[in-house]
Amino acid sequence: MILKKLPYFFRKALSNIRYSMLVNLVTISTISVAILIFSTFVMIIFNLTNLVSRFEDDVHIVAYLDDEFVGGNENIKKNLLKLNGIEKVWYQSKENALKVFKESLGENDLFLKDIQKNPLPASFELRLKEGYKDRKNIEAIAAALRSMGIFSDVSYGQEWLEHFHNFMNILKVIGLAVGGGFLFAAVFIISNTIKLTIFVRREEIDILRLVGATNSFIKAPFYIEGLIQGFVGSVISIIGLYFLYLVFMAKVQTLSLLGVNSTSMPFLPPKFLILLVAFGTLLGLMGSYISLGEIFKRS
Amino acid sequence: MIQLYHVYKSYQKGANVIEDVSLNIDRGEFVFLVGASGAGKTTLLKLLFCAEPITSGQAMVNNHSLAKINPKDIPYLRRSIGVVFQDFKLLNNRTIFDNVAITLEILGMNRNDIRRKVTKALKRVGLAFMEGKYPLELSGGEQQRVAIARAVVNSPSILLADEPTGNLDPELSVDIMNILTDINAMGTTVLVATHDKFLLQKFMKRTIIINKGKVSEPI
Ligand SMILES: Nc1ncnc2c1ncn2[C@@H]1O[C@H](COP(=O)(O)OP(=O)(O)OP(=O)(O)O)[C@@H](O)[C@H]1O
Ligand SMILES: [Mg+2]
Repeated sequence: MILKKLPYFFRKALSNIRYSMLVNLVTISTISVAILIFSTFVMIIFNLTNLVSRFEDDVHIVAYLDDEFVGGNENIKKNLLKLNGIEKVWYQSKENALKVFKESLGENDLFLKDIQKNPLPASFELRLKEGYKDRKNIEAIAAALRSMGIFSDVSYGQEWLEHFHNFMNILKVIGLAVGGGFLFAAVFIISNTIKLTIFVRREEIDILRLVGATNSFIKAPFYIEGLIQGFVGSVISIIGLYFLYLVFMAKVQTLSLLGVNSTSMPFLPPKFLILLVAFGTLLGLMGSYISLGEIFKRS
Repeated sequence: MIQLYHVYKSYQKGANVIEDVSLNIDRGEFVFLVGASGAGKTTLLKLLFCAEPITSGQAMVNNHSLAKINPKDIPYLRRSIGVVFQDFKLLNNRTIFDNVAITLEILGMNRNDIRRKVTKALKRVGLAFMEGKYPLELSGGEQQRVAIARAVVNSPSILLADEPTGNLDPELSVDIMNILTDINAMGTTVLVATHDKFLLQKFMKRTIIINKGKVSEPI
């Protein structure tokens, strides 16, 4: 029954929109702006999260073997692999370390000529399993390594990542608050514009009632109106977001900043875009739901 | 079809506008409701299609008890009653065709059936050629006939017509009355509120007199 009437509801909603064009334009632009602001935050957070996880993937621990220590490195390697959360272990001998160091210096290795004794320690590089790459686990592993008493030093470049994490969390909270505030405002404005369109059509609604229309029949086109507003608004905002993204990327590329390009900083993937549109549509629906609830309770 | 039993109606604790009305109208009848301005004709009709609740008493319309009707059932009761409103209640921003089609749209009827039925109803009131016009482009009598077309387009079992000839010249009034008696002849129960004595004399039908909210019937 509802399905049979759906084409009618859509036609009705579209003619409502055409009839109160200005009011609808206001609503649609409100939704666009709200979703645009929200999705800008989503995109920033999305890209920073990507960045962090790429760095996190790279997290590893290097344990430098004490020069005093003499013993088979295969044995140590076996023991290291027994530790919790270790995926892979590489051994680098003193000689190898020196070779790598020399290679990195290239032509400038003059001052190494004077050195009699190889100053570089042998080391083990430990790759961590997924789920062990956070600060707590890394510190636990580092502590376990230190307690073995055979390493002169244990290092991991984790501290700054932690700071970055904190920064991300703050950004998420701000994004949620500002974006959420705008979304809330959008729902409020949508519900008010729908109230306005309902007010404009109250005579028609009265007549529909008198000839036997049910409440849901009267409400349905307004729901669809909100739905269309939300959908159109969020699609526009995504086009706007893409435009902003292109402008940003062009700017960044002329400055050749940090090797930023469309691979290292991609646009939001389709899954996110669909979610944003669905979200905007829901927003429009919510706006009409609120106003219809208020108005139909009174009559 | 319509049964009232000691029905009272007052607006917001005011005086009784309808007072102790009992009457019975059978299926297929044609009845005039006559009374002076302010006698309560419109109010009585409004009670019948639940535009106003009855204050006390019992009333049955199409097997619905008006005193106990569930608000959810009101739309369905209204669909079986065609109403020609005293002030027409046409939508000025919709074409004549669309105004008449409203009654069918709410039933979820498909567009072809709507087109067929609306065209037929407009033809019956002699306005088939006007379907693309807007109400304000029509004369009062033409608007009245659009209101009638909208009321009868779905072949209701009851037709309530509130002053369907109000302010029309006698010839047009007879035209409209002929339309109503045609509809009655096809099985619809018709109740016409009027204060037009001329019509009563020309169309000898059952007549209910209403005076200050009380009804009486000359035998
Ligand atoms: N909504 C309302 N609120 C309060 N009083 C009302 C309302 N509608 C009608 N009345 C009063 O009820 C009485 C009957 O009104 P009603 O409209 O039923 O008369 P009527 O017989 O249809 O008159 P007319 O021939 O002028 O149309 C009048 O005194 C009127 O003032
Ligand atoms: Mg009246």
